Amino acid sequence: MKNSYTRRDFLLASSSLGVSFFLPRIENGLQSRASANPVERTRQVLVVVFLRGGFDGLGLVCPTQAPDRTLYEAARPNIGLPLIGNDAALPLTEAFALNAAAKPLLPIFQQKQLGFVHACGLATPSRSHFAAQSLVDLGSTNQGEFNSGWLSRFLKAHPCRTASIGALKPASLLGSDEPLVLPRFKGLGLDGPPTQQRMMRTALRNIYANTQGDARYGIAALNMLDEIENLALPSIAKNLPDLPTGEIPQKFILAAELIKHDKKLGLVTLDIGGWDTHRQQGTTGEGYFAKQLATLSKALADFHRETQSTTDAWVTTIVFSEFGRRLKENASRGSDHGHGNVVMLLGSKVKGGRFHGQWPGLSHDKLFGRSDLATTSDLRQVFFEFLRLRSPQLQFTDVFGKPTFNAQLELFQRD
Amino acid sequence: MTTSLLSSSAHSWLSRVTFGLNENLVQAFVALGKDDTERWKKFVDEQLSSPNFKDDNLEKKIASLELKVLDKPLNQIWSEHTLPARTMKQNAPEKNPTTKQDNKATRRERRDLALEPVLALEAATWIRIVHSRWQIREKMVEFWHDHFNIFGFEQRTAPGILALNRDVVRPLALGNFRTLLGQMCRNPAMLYYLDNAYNQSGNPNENFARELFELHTLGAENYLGTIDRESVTKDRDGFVAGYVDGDVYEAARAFTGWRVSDGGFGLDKNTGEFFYHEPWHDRFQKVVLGQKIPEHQAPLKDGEDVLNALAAHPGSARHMMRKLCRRFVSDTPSESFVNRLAEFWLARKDSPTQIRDTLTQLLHSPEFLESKEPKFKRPVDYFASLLRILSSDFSPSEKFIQATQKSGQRLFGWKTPDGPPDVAAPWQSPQSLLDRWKTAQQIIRQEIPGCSFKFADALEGAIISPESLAKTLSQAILLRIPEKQFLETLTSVAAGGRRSDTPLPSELLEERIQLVAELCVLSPEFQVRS
Repeated sequence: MKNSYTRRDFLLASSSLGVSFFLPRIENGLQSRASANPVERTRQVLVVVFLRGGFDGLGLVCPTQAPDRTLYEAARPNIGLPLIGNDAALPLTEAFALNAAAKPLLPIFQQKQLGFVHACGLATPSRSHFAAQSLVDLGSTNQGEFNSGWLSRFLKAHPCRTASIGALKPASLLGSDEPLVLPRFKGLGLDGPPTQQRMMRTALRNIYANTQGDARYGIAALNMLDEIENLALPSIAKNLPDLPTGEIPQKFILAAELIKHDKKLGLVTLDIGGWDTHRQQGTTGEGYFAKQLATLSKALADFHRETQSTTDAWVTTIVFSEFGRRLKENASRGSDHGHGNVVMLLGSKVKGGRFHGQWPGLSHDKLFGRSDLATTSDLRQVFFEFLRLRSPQLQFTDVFGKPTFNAQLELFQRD
Repeated sequence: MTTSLLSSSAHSWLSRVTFGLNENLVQAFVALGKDDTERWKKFVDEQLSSPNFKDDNLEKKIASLELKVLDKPLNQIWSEHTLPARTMKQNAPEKNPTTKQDNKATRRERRDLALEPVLALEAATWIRIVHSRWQIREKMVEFWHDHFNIFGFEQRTAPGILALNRDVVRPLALGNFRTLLGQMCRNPAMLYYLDNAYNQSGNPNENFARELFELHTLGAENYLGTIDRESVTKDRDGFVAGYVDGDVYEAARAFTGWRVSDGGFGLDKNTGEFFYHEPWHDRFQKVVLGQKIPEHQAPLKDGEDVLNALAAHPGSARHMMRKLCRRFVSDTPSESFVNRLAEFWLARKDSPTQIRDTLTQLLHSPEFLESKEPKFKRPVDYFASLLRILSSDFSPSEKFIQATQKSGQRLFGWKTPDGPPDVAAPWQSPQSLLDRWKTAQQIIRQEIPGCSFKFADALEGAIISPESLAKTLSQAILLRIPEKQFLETLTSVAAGGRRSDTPLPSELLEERIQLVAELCVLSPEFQVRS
């Protein structure tokens, strides 16, 4: 495993993969530190990407061998991934292929920096978005087991600076000290000329600190303005080329910039919605899911390359959802809520280029409730091994409750 | 200048049931009786029992916006706004081989036309919540739109959501829940939004059925997961302990064929209205919540049976009452209060005034009257209250809509079916809060068209020293005696280094008034309904 990248590596990688969003800035020499010397990696940054709404893992990777292939095609005549034609899925291993819309991820898989855990999910099944997201966010096996998020419990014992990209703090950070919740680069702050803004901020801090009742939220907002100033976020934004439109790439770019500029940052969360595809799913070609997946894949691949080549951090990313979708498509060419799903792992620490966990198959008797991909790996075990990247001594029970059916998955290189 | 000040109880009651206090409301309230108890009783009676909620001034204001689409029947909206868009879309490439730019322009035109119904509804709703006399009713209209959330800014949902608001939610906001639920499930915007318009026998689409259970009636707290139906216990009245996936699947079958006549999938009719399509319906036996639904029932009966079972279930009553309490009382209402109201609600399940009577019960309960927990204003609450206290005239400009939605809430614009949350935490996030503050400043600085203020009224006759400016203006905005330290901060900002008891020179006055007003509406006091 290669520990560092040079500018040349990066440019080669980029040129073979199309133009990276990040490229112009590096050519301009704004990242001279990264480009002049090989990067020494000195810190671990964990990136948690929650695809909310029930991401269709069977629309991301599909089985290619009989008998599962036959069962897959029979269940998904309209929304399945084809193996031939313009939209043919891209072979990953002997048994699985990748949606062509996710093409930007293929070279990362081939470089063994992307791995999958198939048939992964909740140990206690739920097909309700609300219930399932809550179980995932809290890292629990039943409602009421915890009232704090799995990341909060980890941070309590192993604190580090944490940022959430988006408008809201996700429930996985419920109960933690205020993370930096950052929705965008620009336009955050009060109205008016700078001196007046400073005066207003002082007055507001005074008012919020001295009021009766709980007004911590106001102090947190004012603190965030200070953080933005400390990080010089507006000037970072000024040096970026025009941001691409769309929430997904913007969130990943913001995350990458934060990782580069905030040397103490240890944990980043991103929530991405829009996966609840009950109707006209459009898994391939110009379809809805295909477009959304293409956007995500490009943003993820750009983010991966950028953070691998220009930061001094080991950046490891996990991408998951609250449940997968039903094997069988519905009459409106969509898919309803299912169970087992695929999890993506990206980074140089990942044992990539392969599928982890146990594939249960798609035959009738192997499906959960005779309808959904079963779960053979507990998502919490993936979370646990992921957290261990930052804290090698961590025990499963430090963060989660009783272990369930899982053996060790050994998803990451350990030093 | 006189500012009427309420007792802190009355202040709390009124700010919980309205979109914000103002001088007129306070004076009208005080005139209702000799003490708060009498006034409150009369106020609630008047607000909830008005026969037709007449408000001529309001209607005049809405009429002045000239939003013609507001009065069109649904089929006319469909044919004039959505249908042409659909036809144009199909024909555009052949008939109109123009440049890319032209296509873009026509696409935008079509989109504007299709979204006109929801944009008009949004504008009219802003006028109503800011200006209507019937504030509790407007609060309940908002409550039902949140509860049965639909994202209205889509070509398919825009006509239906306008009709839903006008023909269903407004007339039934204080009526009967089961009636409201039934109308809701036949509304084209709902049928499109949750995909039931495409739900057909054989391979049903269960999106609608799932949200009907999880959000609209029983609530996620009554979801027992993926277990077998046979293992669900029943209480002594025969009600199941909760619902499982099996119930959702069977209910999805019950609603097959509930669609929209939109000319699609073998339909000739194209009116945009609700349509029951017999060939798509699954006629065979179903079991939902332990109750048998026999095969070969009359049209629509299967679905109606499911709605009856859901509306009559005590779990639904508790879910509904918890949400109602959350709206008016507290983020975390006590379970005993919820249970008490749920019993009251269920006992009136066939009454045409079920919602009004239950709400009356809630508003006279000790839990409401003695509630000390402030409710954090959601962005719409916040901006409405800002305009109600300050604005002499208001109409929602495009810039106003753009600026206010940055805080995360837009009327009829919440994307996921759970509706905008009714607890503090999400709206207290630094981003939401900072964006609300900035927009409030822009409104006060008159940088946003359609909002004009007259601070002069509040300050008339006062000697405008920094001290008096701070005191007078903060009382006029908060309608309370401000905390001492808060007042000191305001005074020092108003003074800006000058003596606080000496009149401000006139050239500084406007800026200082503005800054003090901003600090008042950015203060913790003004962020809450309490």
